[in-house]
Amino acid sequence: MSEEDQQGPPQEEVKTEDPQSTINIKVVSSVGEEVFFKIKRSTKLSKLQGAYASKVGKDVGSIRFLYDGERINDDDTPASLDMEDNGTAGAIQFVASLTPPTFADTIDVMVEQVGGVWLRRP
Amino acid sequence: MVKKKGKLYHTLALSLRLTSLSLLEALRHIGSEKGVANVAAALVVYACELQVLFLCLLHYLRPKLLPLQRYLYASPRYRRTHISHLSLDRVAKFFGLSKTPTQTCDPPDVPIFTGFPEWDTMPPLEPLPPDTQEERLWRRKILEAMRTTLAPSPRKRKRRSNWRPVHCSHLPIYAGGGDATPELTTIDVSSDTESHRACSSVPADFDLAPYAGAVWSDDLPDTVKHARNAARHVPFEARSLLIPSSTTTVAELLLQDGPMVSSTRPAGDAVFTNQPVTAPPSFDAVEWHDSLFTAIPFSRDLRRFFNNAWLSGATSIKFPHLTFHYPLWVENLLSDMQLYVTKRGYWDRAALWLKRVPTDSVGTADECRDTFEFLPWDTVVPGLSPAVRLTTESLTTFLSNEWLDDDMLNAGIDYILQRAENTRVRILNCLFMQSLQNASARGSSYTPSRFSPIEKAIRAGAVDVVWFPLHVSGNHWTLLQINLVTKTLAYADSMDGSIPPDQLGPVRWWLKSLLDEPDDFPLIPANFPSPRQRDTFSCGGIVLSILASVLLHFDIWTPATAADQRMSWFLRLSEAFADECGGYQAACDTDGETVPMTTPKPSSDYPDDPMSISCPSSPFTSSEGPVIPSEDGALGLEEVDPLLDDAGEQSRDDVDMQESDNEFPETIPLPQSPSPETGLKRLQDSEYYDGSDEEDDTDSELDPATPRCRRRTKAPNPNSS
Repeated sequence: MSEEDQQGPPQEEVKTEDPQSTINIKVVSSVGEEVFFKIKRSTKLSKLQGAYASKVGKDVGSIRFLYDGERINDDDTPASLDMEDNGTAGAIQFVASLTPPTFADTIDVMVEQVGGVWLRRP
Repeated sequence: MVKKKGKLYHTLALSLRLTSLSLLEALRHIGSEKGVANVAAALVVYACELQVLFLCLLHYLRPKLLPLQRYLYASPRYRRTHISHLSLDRVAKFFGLSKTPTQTCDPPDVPIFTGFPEWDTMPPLEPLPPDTQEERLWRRKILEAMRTTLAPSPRKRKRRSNWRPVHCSHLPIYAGGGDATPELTTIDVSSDTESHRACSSVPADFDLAPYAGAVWSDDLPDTVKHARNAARHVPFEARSLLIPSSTTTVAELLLQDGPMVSSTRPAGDAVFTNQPVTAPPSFDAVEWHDSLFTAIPFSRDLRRFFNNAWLSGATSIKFPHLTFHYPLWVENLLSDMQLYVTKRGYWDRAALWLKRVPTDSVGTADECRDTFEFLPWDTVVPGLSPAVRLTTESLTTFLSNEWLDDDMLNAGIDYILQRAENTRVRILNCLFMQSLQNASARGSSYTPSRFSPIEKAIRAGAVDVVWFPLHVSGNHWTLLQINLVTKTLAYADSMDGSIPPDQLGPVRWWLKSLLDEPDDFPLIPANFPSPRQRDTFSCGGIVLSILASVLLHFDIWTPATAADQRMSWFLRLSEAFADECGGYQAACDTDGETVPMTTPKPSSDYPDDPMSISCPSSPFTSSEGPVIPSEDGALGLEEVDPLLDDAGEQSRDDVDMQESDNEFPETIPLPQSPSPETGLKRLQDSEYYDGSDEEDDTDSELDPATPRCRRRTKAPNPNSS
């Protein structure tokens, strides 16, 4: 019986991607500006958020990062979010830095909105 | 059984009778010698014995009339019916005197073991024959079926976001360059590893000497970066002593002494030195706790110069106003302390705001204070949609007069959507408009590569009403209702404004492309309640209140209940924590003892099933009316009361607004940035939050000269104009 149990579970999807491999991620702001990031699959995306915030000169708290319409948490990594590319892992590693990588996953960036009152515009 | 017990009482009665007879003889003898009074006493005793005998006789004749055995034979626990008995039990338990309940039940009349004559002669159990191939297959199938039904995979259980930002695939804008010459910016963050992992991977024989004097760059080998991370690693003891853990409850946080914050930066600069570290020996020394908070203003400079200073062999940090040489990781610790001071300030402000709510709302304020008992001070609110991320730090905004941001509105919208019965109504994410505006500005038609779930539902005709929260002119929240049945738009602005064209245009463009409609949707007057705000901070709350009143039949916002509404939203969004703890009430009721509250984990592995969140037994849902399902979105709107009578006639003069400000607690300035002349100011006095219901807040008044400090500096000050 116990032997059966061990054999029982269906084979988990074998993750061929090396967690140390890097992928390219495209960060698109709400006005369409694009910044590309090279990041390890095991690195927390909070690092990417901090780098982007310092790049655009804003506070991290005032920027909203979304992946596929979902907010990115501090502990998320590309591996945990299943950020994959349509091509193979090798194709992502060697993206030339002159042409936009076409397989890169996209993170959307939104600007924080705070509102309390409508002051009449001059 | 009864007969047996009756026999027992019979013998008891007989023995009593015999002893009483001999006793009576003895007493009579004494009475004849000493006097009459003794005879009378003997007669009283005799009468008492007769009474006992009568009771025994009564029990013998009618056992159910006088259940003596219940009083005499029941286990000690059985008679514990009062709370004082329970405390007696606890005392007995403490002194090791607790008695285990004695089992006094009579043996059963039916002999069960003798009913099996073969019991002793049964042959031993034989092992089952081995499975056939077919049976093995079946068993595996059943196991797999159980596994999938009982423990669904996390991916399956996860709620997906129902919206997605609109991308225009053509004409990308690259940061730092125009469309004509796309300059690709690639930032490499792959080389930096996490600090905790780095500590273990620094080789013991790592030598910094070859890199001494070098300028920090991303091209340095990984070992150097790991060693740098190890140098920045803060010991757990230091962090835990200076900064409360993220799961500390707010009540515990507020009871602790607040950090001493420096209003002015001490003169001089913090420098990296080659001197050995001479920090105070133990982490609970006063030099760590009180002095280091005054060094927070140096945090930014230290971070900027850390890498190069470390490469050039710095070993300690010297602050100009402190005597000790601190270790290098203090740089890392200071930035964490700065965050702590900021967030601590928000909670102090919330506690102070709760003391100043109008007298009508004191009850709700007490509920908020009760929530503090189990609310962690710095985690992510669980149970929300993956498209929403709300921290408990954001919850403090509901306990203040600050403006609400998109996170808070999205969280409130998610709360409403999870509880709304009407499935033909959708509410869009607040952030959707940003990408829509950009896409409409550059595309002639809306042709996404794939539609988001909400767009698919709209195209399939499964939606009647779409609510669209709008952020207009950078500082105001309004609401747009898209009625897909009557093909009309209705706009609600709490300041009576009209919808700006830069918002109306993209919405019409989106709808036209989505529905293949040739005509624009006309704008009609709103047929739902749309209160007018008289203050300078309530528009976000009004948007949430309109949605909640239409979809959940909650009370609509009024100027008098503005503070109450804010606190209600705080309580509603904190419900997830109450459910996590098993309920505040349940934890306090057990046996009169104080049960330590289990603090919820801030991780994301909460059940995403919406049913698990809307727990009806939550102690904070009773203030709202029952959720009445409405059958149709369009019809449901008409059931709601029309505009409140006082809402329409309010003039919106600035003078009026200023007057009405007095109805609410004044905006409380953040204590961590006091005016320069106040000098050092203790953030947390015991008067800010004393845990009791005392109403004397005379001591908690802040200096009136303290300037207003907005939570986010980029937001304009509403009172300034």
